[in-house]
Amino acid sequence: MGRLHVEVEKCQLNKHGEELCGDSVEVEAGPDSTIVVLSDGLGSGVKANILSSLTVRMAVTMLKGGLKLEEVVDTFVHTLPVCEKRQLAYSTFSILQIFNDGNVYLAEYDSPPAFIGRGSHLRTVPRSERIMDERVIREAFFSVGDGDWIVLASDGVLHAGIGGIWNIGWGWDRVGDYISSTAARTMLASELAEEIAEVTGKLYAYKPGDDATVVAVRVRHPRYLTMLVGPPVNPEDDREVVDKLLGAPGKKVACGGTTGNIVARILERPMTVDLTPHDKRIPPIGKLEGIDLVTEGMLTLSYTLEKLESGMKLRDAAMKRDGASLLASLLLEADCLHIIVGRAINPAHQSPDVPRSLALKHKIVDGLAQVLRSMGKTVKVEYY
Amino acid sequence: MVTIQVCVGSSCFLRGAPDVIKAFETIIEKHAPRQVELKGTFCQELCTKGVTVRINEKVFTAVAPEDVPGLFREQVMPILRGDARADTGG
Repeated sequence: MGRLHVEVEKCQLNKHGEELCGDSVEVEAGPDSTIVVLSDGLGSGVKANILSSLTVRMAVTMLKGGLKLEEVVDTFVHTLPVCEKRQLAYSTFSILQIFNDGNVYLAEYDSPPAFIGRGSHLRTVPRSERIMDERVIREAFFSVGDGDWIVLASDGVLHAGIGGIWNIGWGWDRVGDYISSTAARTMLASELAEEIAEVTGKLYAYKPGDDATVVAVRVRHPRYLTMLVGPPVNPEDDREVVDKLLGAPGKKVACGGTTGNIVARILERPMTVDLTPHDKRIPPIGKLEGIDLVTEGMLTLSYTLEKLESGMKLRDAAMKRDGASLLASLLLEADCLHIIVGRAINPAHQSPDVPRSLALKHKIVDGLAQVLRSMGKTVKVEYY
Repeated sequence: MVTIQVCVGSSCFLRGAPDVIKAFETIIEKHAPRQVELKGTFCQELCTKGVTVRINEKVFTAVAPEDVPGLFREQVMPILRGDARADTGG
């Protein structure tokens, strides 16, 4: 079965006219578990932002250090600044800890109940109540597996559309229905979080009456991708790297014409080039049975990096057919990536006609690894 | 049947392979749409010499779009005429 991949993505809308969001989110991916904390601070603006950011930071730091929830709550009570107007030190929280084996601990204090589901179905997960420092904390222990999702939302999401489209706002049940149907037709946590935030914004007519935060968590068996970039310095290693590519689980990509030719030669299969024009800046792709995608090398890679760095979404990439968008799409879908970089120097890239930046294969690969890691993916880069 | 292969590897692509392909497409469409197959290939390892074109087994390097009509007249047409004669003979 192996370990599960936990993907966490958040989306926030600030209350109309506020520069700071009064909700805070902190995610900590540790070796055994992933901790997610969402907090909604009292009021809005700076004050709420300070309260909620202190809350999430303290919670993550203490839980990571192995402290019990009682101690965390006790610390909140005794250290959070007290609001002068309301004489309260108050911020809500939802704490989610997902262990690598799929066991989950959830603690909620005055926040909307988390949405927990599998596929297109919302699950009913019973909570038990515990009193800590005169506060009622709702707790749940449950387990998740491949295809499960959990969405934490601040009350700003539930209230969306209040007094406008909906008399009493979007509401937990309707939000739950929307999340279930969205989860069923999307793959990534980022897609789920963004779509919920998008509808929230629309319901508020783009002038949110409250800070609204969505944190989407998706659990699945990791999706693997192995990508060969460039031929090895030593041609004797050709077979070894191709064997690594072919023997790897998941999707397989060859980047670079010569690289594609090497794979085709070892596979003893013909490679064809698809000349259908899609984007005139991006070279055509190759077709090779057994390999999910064959592209040209450095131009395609640098456009792919450009697309990912500018925040290209999976749904946008999936609609385009050019080499860089196809590659971006596969990279966005993968959770665990292995990039095998061949360091052979292409004499053509040393010519003055070729922009200098293109010759810097390592720089582009490093850039890709960095942007993919920032999305929570595991990236291993190996050189030959 | 004649097969024309144009390299679309990084270097040839940057040096104008798409325009060479367009030039071939136009001329093939005009003169012999069903007798010539136009294909792309990846790197032919002749990168430093400009856009590489292979007509059946013959290799031409540093091909520019303006060279295409000449290449077609001198290299492709004779093969096609030969094919036509062979066809009527057989």
